[in-house]
Amino acid sequence: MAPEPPHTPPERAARARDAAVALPLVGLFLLLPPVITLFAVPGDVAGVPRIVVYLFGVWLALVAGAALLGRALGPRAHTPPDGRAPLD
Amino acid sequence: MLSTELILPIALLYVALLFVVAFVGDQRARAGRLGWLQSPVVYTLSISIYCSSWTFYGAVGSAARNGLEFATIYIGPTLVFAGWWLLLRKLVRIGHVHGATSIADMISSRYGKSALLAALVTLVAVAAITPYIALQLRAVTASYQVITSAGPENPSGLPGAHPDFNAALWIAFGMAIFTILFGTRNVDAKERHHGVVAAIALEAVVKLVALLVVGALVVFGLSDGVADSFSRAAPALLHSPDAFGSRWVVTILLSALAVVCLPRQFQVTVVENSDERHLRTAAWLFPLYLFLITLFVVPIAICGLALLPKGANPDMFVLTLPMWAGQNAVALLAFLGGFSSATSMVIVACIALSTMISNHLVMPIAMRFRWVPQNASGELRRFLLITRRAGICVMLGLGFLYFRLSGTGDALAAIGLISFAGAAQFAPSLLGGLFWRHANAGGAIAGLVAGTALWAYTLFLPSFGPGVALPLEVLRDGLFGLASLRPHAMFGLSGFDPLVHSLFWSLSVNTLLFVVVSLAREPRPIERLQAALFVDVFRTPAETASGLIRRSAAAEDLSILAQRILGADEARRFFERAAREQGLERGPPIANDAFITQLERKLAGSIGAASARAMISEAVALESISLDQLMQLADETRRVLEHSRQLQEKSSQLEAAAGQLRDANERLRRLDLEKDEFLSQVSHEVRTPMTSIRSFAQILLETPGLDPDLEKRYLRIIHEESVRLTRLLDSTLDLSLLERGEAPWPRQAIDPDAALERAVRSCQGLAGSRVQLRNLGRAAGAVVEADEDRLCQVFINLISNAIKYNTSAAPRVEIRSALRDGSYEVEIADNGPGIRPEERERIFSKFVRGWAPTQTGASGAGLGLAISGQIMRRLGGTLALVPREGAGACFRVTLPALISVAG
Repeated sequence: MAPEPPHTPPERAARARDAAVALPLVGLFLLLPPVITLFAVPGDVAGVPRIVVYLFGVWLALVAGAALLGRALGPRAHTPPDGRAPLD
Repeated sequence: MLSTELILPIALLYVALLFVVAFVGDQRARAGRLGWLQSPVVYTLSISIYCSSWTFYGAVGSAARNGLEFATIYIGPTLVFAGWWLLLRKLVRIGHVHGATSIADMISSRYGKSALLAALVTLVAVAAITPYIALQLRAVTASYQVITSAGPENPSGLPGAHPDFNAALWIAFGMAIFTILFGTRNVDAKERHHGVVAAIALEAVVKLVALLVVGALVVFGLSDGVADSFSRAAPALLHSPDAFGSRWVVTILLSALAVVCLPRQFQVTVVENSDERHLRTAAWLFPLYLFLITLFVVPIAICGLALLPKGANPDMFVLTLPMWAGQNAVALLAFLGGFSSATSMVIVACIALSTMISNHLVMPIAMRFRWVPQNASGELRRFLLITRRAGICVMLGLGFLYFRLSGTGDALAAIGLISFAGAAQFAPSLLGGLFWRHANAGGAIAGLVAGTALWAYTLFLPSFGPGVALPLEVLRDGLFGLASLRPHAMFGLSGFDPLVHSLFWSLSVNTLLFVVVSLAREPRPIERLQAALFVDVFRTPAETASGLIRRSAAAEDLSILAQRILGADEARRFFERAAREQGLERGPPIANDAFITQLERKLAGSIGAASARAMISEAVALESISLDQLMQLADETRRVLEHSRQLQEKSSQLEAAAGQLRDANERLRRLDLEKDEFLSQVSHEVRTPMTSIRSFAQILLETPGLDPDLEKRYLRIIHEESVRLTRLLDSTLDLSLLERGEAPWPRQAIDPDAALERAVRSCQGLAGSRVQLRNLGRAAGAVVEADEDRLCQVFINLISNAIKYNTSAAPRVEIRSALRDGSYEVEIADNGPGIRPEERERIFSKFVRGWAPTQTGASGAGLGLAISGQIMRRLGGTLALVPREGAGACFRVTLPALISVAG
């Protein structure tokens, strides 16, 4: 694993990596039964059914989480060799 | 309604625009000005071909039929991309390192470049994607029919009963032309299709905007805002009791697998990826795209159900709602959006599949039967291009055929899910191969064959409709009339949704066989090598492989081979570059292992890893894989772990050593201080007697006629001081000898009590009648190994100190010896002033007189205790100050006793 660039302390990067693994698992947990069935009840938020608000809310939270983590994981100055890599 | 005369030119104009964009993109790429073509946004937009017309039309249809279930198709990919760090990152890295040209290439590469596996994956992909292409054809055909023929008074959207197959054929034809023109310009499949990517990025924008505009029209034009549009919903739509049952879970899983395993998704995510960092952006931008494109799906479905006449095709709501509202411009935009979503999917899917067909089906067969042109004039390139173009036509033809055969039935989403389930059969071997070292080709083939067979039997073949692919009796009664082989109730598992049922059996049998056969079979060396390179891609550079495979070949043979596949110019450039990098001025490069590996990878970019390996093997004279090194590589992980453990150990050792050094340094500094102190003490001690000697001598010299008595007294003082000086110097010498500990002392078994008695006796004189010496007890018969004189010296020193510094009114010194725990102990205690607590630590140091100030006038050099301590240390014993209650001090001498005679 390449060393982290100096502006991302290793410890913080390690936490970000763990969070990157946890994020989809948390999302899955929230969107699978039984958790999701808790919100599949009549009732609405500003005219929108509760389940729709919940579903799209979690969705948006996943987007935000992925965006934040993408930044926390730090830009790594690594361009992979493509298929036409120079001879070694 | 919009007339055909209007729609056709607009559609063709739109296609022309796409051509222009693709052309400009290709031109820019050729000129090396990649710019926005390589931006993460374009990368993300190209991934959004995931949203085909299934999304554009079918999502609303699905929502109108099954409520929120449509969302599962987008939740799976959202989770996969949000978790890019886990899977996609590794996939993309491997794609880069090994130059994967397709998912079949990747899987075959992983399992030892198996040509059989590559062909198998290709066949499965062709079967799985055929319904998907049919879906696009059907959606575009239906949308074309709807927008041109249905009047605003009855926009039923043609429930699909009478598809216009003529139009569908033309559409398929047009798509084939477009794909061929832009997808097969280059023979190097690893070379990115910049023009196509630019065009599909534009289409991604068009379809998103179109769906958002339709959504806005429905919510804010046809309804009075969000709340109003939801208020029209039938209660059962969003709150059906079994909405979140097994189908919900299974379709989330399925879509998550599909977004990785679908050949076209693999193409845009892995093959067309130019920079791993783009994944970081796609990780949130693609889920956001999915979020936006599905945002209005539910309101559109609700309003379509509420506003349009009963029986209207929900799959066409996106188009029929604007038409119903008389918004022709919006309807046109919707039509173009749907057209975009379908064409972009078809183009990329056909490029991916045609590459797979030509590389993994046609090439191996052509090589086997020597169809491959053997001359070096670039005919092979033409041959490859032709097979790819034919592959595109075959795919669209198959799609049309499927559409024609199954044409009447299902909703768009149902067709798409069949494809998803087919593509998901790659998941065990693809994902297992990324993380599990022991997965091998046997397991992958067994799993894939069994899984696909089950998928085909339980889902794919029945989807043609009863009596088309499977006879009615088989559907109803099972194969050979066996009830346990009914396609929708395999082994008696009934009561499940057909999709859930099929996916359960196919994926679990697939995975099971994959694992069991992998475990049962010994992998070939090349499989082991590829497994190590894939699983440890972040730790093992691909170049390692060149050192493992030993091959030799004639450079001319390789050159001919390269020219056949790459073309003369490209091959010459490649060889020249290689020669330059080997440091050769001219001539062909040396055909060493590294070069052959490099060439193989280059060829793999055109014809896939398996075919490249087969072709290189023909040119190569000798090939062997170094098993030893392979094992080492396979143990890379363990080696890394071991290495890090050793590092840790070493670092803790270093830390300990550093600590010891710190301590030693501290000790040295203290010793240095002590030495300085000692020197100044010695000078001081020597100076006092010297001063008096000098001054009395001066008086004697300079005072003539001095009173003889006085003279005699002065001389006595001089003598006494000289004696004191000598004693002091003797002691110092003694101590320094002791401390250096050079000459060993003769040690013999002695009775320590005898030495003690001698010491007591010699101190009797000093004690006189003033101090009472009390002998309290003796060890009687103890034997120690020591130097008797030295031991006696210690005792004398201790007893005389106890006498000299005792200022008590009735001075008393108590002496006792005893044997305790195998040691001989002597305690010498007094009732004097004792040692000041703060001095207890230091009294064994040189020149320290620990006693409280005395009035006895007795004085010593302060070396006695230091000397005694040193002697005891050299005798292997100790001298200690015993903490004790009350007045006085008590010193304890301890020596290890030999087996005591007294027992």
